[in-house]
Amino acid sequence: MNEDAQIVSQILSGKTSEYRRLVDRYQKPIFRFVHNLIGDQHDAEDITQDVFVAAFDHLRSFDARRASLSTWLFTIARNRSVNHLKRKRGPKTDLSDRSVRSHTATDDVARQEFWQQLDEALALLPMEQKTAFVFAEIEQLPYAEIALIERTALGTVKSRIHRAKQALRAVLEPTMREQ
Amino acid sequence: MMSNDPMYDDWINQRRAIDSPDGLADCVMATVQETEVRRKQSLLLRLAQRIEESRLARWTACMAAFLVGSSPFLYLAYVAQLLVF
Repeated sequence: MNEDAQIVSQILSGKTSEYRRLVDRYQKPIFRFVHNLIGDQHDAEDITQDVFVAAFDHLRSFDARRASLSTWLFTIARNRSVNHLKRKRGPKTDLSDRSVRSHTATDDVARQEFWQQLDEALALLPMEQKTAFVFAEIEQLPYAEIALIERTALGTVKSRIHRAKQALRAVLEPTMREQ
Repeated sequence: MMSNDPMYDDWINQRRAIDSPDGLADCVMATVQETEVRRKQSLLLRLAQRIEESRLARWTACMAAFLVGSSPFLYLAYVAQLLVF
């Protein structure tokens, strides 16, 4: 039995305070994932809190043989974030219609502007591409784990990440041409 | 390719460097404790409702109370057997 599973069994036997150890261990990756997905600090805080409370409420349903605790927490975080984004979704802009602002990547202003373009491009990706990209590129999770979280085939995960990168590359290309 | 672009790498690194705010774990634990208290209260409430609604539950509660209440007397009776006057 790994350490997480041991802590879970202690919590289930009544030692609620032991949950703090799990929160301390996973709050950073979960918050970072949620923040990168929804792009708002306060909403990310609320959702992260929600994720840990929901995980505590459903701790009995966690099965260490099926997935690691981090995979289970990421699954809850993904579902809560996606639901939040669906509720808040405004008018959708087509990525292909976006006019990419040209700039020279020589100073901080240009860098900030470039980052902003990437942020916007990431925000406009289809949901399944966005979650797969954040898991793979920012959280650096293995593709097999992403497939488990997304409940889809490994090949589908790879193709989603590939398409997400292609879309973001469209933002990068004008800059690369200028360099 | 994207992975060779330093500005893209900087962007990725900046996103990887996002840290959770101070006090988040405290907020989570406070909410968890509240949830736990509420859950226990609702269990007691459900038990009380069950006793009120069902005759069998009332009989069971009375029997349990009788057994708990009489246990000191049963213990005394047992000890009294061991004493020689």
